[in-house]
Amino acid sequence: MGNGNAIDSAVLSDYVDDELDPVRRRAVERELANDPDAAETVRAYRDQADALRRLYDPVLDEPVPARLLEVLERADGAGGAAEGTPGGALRGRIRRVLPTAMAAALALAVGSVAGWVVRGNLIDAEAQRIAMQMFLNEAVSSYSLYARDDSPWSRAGLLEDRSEFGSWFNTERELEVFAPDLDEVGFSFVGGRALPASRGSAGQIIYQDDDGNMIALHFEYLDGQRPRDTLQASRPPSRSTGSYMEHNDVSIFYWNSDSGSASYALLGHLEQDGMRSLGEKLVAHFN
Amino acid sequence: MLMDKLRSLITAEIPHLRRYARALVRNADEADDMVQACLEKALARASQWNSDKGLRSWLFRIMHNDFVSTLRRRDRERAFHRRYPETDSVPPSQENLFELNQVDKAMDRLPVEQREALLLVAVSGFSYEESAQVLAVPVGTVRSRLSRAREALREIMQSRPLESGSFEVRRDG
Repeated sequence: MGNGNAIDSAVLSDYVDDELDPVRRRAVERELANDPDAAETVRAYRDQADALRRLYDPVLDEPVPARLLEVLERADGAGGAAEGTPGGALRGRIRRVLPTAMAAALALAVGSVAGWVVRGNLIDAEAQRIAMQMFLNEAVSSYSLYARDDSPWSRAGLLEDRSEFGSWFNTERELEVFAPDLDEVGFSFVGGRALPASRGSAGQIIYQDDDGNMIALHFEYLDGQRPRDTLQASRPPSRSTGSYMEHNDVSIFYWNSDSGSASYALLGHLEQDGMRSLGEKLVAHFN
Repeated sequence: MLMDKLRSLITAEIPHLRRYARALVRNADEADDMVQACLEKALARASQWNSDKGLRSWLFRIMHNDFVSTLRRRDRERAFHRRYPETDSVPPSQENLFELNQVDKAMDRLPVEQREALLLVAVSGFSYEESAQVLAVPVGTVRSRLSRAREALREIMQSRPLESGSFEVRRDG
């Protein structure tokens, strides 16, 4: 757009949004390889989208205010009927569009999401949010205390054999944790340790890359007697894909397990992209 | 029974509606007012829902229409200036845009059409086609608004890199 770019910025926008057909997409990719300015533009657009999501996505995890749920509760049949919506018409429309099995699967999926917001679990959701804040606080403190190279405690209580870590942690905390192998992504196992936690059992596994950069995986498992069912219902499924944040100079990628009984945080000084891809790998390992 | 199903479907969309509303008006209460009005309208018009178009687009469209008419009603003159001159120009920056939540101030400088297009595509994950349905404009218009929004935002934020210095995940209200 007049700034000397060979590729129109609207086309770069299409590219970022994956709105190009495969042929044009490949053409743009070829041009990007030879046009640093355009590549920079693409990066800037992606950063924008990322910043916007970091800014607004937390709204998704907030408990839904009761007044909004009440709108739906009030509509219990009466609203629709008063507006002259015969149930039959709606039924017919849905039936025409959705094959029965698909409709059933959809209702089931929606039921589990809706259960989180509808069934009065607002307090649970709030408790969950606070628990996550506490967990991240502990993760950051432990990281600062034990996982930095210059820490006097960096070797304290550290078990340095990856294959033994699982069974050792099991005898320490009666939990099975298998330290993942990250060699193929350039991080070798340094060691793992059990840590005190405000609830449940926690631990930390440390890895290091060839340049000496250390990352720590902090995990916490809830005690068996915790009401796991409630916690499970109180969490929207999207949580398990992980979130990214920064605290001072530490990058953090964190998530909850699908079952809701464990929380994880990956901490380090890596770039956001590196943290995310590593984090996503770990999400897959632990779920 | 069917109303129950629709209610469940709509309930699942509430977080998405809230995120969009919050990004548009930046005030948590005002945003939830928008969502509430949208839910009330959606339920009253349940019979008009055409499931071919998808529930989310339908709900977003109701909210978008409401948002636009509120803007018009509240301040016709200001709305006129924000709606019609779709320029590439951006007021000069006096602030340091290095905090993450300054992005939202940068967003606020964009004409509202551009802001909506960018939020729908980049945050809510709508395709151009779906965004065109929500905004009731041609796909080409979505595309050009989006491109202008990105260029303008880049211009505003180019001067400083983004950082997030706060440990608290920001939550209003």
